[in-house]
Amino acid sequence: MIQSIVKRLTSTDHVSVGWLYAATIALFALAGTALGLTLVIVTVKPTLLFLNPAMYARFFTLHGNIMINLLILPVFAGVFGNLILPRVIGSSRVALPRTNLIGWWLYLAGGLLMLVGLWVGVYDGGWTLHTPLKGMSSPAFITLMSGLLLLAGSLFLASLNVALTIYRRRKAGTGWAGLSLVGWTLFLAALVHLIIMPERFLFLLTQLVGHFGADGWIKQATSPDSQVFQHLFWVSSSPAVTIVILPAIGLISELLATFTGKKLFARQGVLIACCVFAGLSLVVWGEHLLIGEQATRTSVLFSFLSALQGIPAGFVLLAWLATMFRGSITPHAPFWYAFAAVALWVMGGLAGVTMSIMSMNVQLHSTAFVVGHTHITIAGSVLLAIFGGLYYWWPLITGSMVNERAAKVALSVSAVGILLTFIPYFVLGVKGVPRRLSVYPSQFQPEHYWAAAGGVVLVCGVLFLVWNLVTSRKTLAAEPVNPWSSDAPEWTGQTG
Amino acid sequence: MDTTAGFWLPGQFSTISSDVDGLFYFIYYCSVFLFALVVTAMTYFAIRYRRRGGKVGLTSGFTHNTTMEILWSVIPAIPIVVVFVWGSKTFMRMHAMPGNAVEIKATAQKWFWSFDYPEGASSVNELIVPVNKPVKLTMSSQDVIHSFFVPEFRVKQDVLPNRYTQLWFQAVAKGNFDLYCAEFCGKGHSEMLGKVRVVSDTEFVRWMDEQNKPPAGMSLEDFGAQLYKSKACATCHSVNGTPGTGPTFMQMFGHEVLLADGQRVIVDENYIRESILDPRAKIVNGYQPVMPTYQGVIKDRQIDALIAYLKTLAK
Ligand code: HEC
Ligand SMILES: [Cu+2]
Repeated sequence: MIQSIVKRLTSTDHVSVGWLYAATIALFALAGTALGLTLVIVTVKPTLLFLNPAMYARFFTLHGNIMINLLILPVFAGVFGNLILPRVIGSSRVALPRTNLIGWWLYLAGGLLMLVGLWVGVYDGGWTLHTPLKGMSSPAFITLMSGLLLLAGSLFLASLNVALTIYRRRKAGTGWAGLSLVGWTLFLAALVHLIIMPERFLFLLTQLVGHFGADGWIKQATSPDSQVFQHLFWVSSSPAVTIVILPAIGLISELLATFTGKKLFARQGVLIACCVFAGLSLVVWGEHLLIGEQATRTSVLFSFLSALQGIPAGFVLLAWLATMFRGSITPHAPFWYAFAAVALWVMGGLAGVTMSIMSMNVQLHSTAFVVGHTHITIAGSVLLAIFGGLYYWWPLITGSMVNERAAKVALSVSAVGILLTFIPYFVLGVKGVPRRLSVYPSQFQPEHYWAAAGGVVLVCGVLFLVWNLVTSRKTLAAEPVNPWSSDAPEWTGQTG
Repeated sequence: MDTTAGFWLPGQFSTISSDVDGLFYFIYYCSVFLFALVVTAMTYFAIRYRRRGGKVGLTSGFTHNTTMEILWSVIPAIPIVVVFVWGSKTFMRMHAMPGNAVEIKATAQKWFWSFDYPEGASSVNELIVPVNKPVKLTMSSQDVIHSFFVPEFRVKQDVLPNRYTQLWFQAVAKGNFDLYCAEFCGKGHSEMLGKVRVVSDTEFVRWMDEQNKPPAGMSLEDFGAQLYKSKACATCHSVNGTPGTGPTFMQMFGHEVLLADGQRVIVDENYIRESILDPRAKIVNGYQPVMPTYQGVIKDRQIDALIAYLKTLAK
């Protein structure tokens, strides 16, 4: 028994590592979801239903850190990169099996350390970290920082593995042109992570050193000046969170093309758009500092680059529409996931463009509007794209067919939940309610009420969705070969 | 100017509000239209092109069209550039500090706001400003990052430790408005709620005058002792005989001092008054001329109080 567990935890087989990632991410995400649900429920009352303001702050700090650092950043390289990518590119193994396994161990260790540090340190600075970091006990601070450092390292290794796997282990004869869009976007996202993780690593390291640095140049060089701190934080964190929409683009494109029985329209254009988007994501961090001390001229530049992101995003959207146009659509469950993901993508994207406009940003920055934008985009569009992808490849990776009717019901419930939970935050934000308020003026209670109701619906939907995936294993005896009649190589058996 | 709150934005109470709102509603209606269009199109496609029987096969080879793709990139770029320019212009206006503004210093700390006005008045958690006059805030924080945000004025600016940031607005109607801290700053963040009270010009002047009188029941000497600390004389002048950046106040009044130019003077009321309002006029021997002028910062009544206090130190 113990022997088999040890074997599982130390196996360098990428499928095994993929499932380790899937299981641990799911567990952390479950905790993050419970925290998120608590956050919307306690705020139905203007003065908190239960919890005190300090606890509320700790909860949203944990929620944000878990969902970002332990779910959306590692999920693509960890789960998709191991379970699906090798199949898609027709490889029997990944490029760096051992590094891959080490990546997971770092993820687990980093995740646990981060959580312990946050909890023991009574840390309440949100996922953007308190600036300057003050008032934490040394042990807690070291724990938190080492956790975050290990996570940055883990993401670097996982991304390295993904990038090299795609680079080196494509099936003979598949050039870059033959690489599916899922492969391409995973590759781009991995590249961006490879570029930014060293910076994040150094940034966290300076915080750690600065905490202990004696007087002299170390202290000077690492002194947590609030503006320097914010720049150093956002240089890597801004691309890290924006880039998660790239693999989502890959997934949505794959699903739409498969279920409309067509090739993706303007594949090359979409690829270019993805590259442009990835490039822009690296240079728009100053968008987060428009109301800081940044020079107006600098702000104008950042705002412009940021607004430009709307162009590749719009291009991809039109390509999706053209793909559906005159298609031969077989609306299986994964198709509807992609469908909903596109709709939410448009909503979240338009909100994003709105915030990149300078005078709008002044009013909307740091308000509930930001919460609406990030959640509609990530907890909405990206989440549904992920689940769409999982539903789509589930038969391939588990050999069992999912219950499609249940999948569609779960999707409808989740979609209603998403809209109900996060649209109120748009309304609150425009009305001028700052984010992260534990106590708010009572005229804003109705919006919080809707959000809480939506939160319950959303959580039910997502749990149903996961339950449906997990139980599919038992309900089917015969192994489906190509249930979606896809012509992608991993389904038609053209790959190993 | 529309001072009633809409479903979305709150009422417009500053000169910048209508600029901001015009653009907001433009983007908003475009967005709603686009969203509806996309969802309708997708729904239509999903129904119209649904496969009915037959075997799956690739439909028409229409998978690429360069002209169309170029148009797709250029056409969305136009509205984006338009709103970008529009928004940036307003932003520039928000950042062009007017020269004739009432200048107020704002200080943020966990978890309250304090304001220092010209001529020595100050207030906590309530910013009092005159209507129809530009007001310029110079802000700094004592601890972490805070952010000054008055939704009705459409202004927001981070308040930073170790640095100054500035913000201006011009209120267009009298009333009380919520002042939020928009940057999470710890567990008391939500309670860092202030008010902006917009009053008429005369009320504003009267309010500042009142601030300059000693609080009811306080003696002039005690008021002076308080000002000695609150006006920061204490940072340079001791009251126990030790010389600091400036000479000590102990045993100063009524005694003779040697000036840098060799002259000797007796410290009396007029000498003190001049030292406070025009410190460079007479420099005490052995000291640098670094004392700031308190012209416009200290009121007559406050000088009286300081003199009364200094007299007690000479007994
Ligand atoms: C930045 C330091 C600084 C501050 C703050 C300051 N002073 Fe001075 N003060 C000086 C110095 C230096 C001198 C001596 C040089 C000179 O005469 O200008 C001086 C001189 C004086 C003198 C003349 C002393 C003498 O012995 O003749 C008076 C009176 C005086 N200050 C009053 C005040 C009062 C009242 C305040 C607060 C409202 C104040 N100062 C704040 C630095 C300061
Ligand atoms: Cu604050």
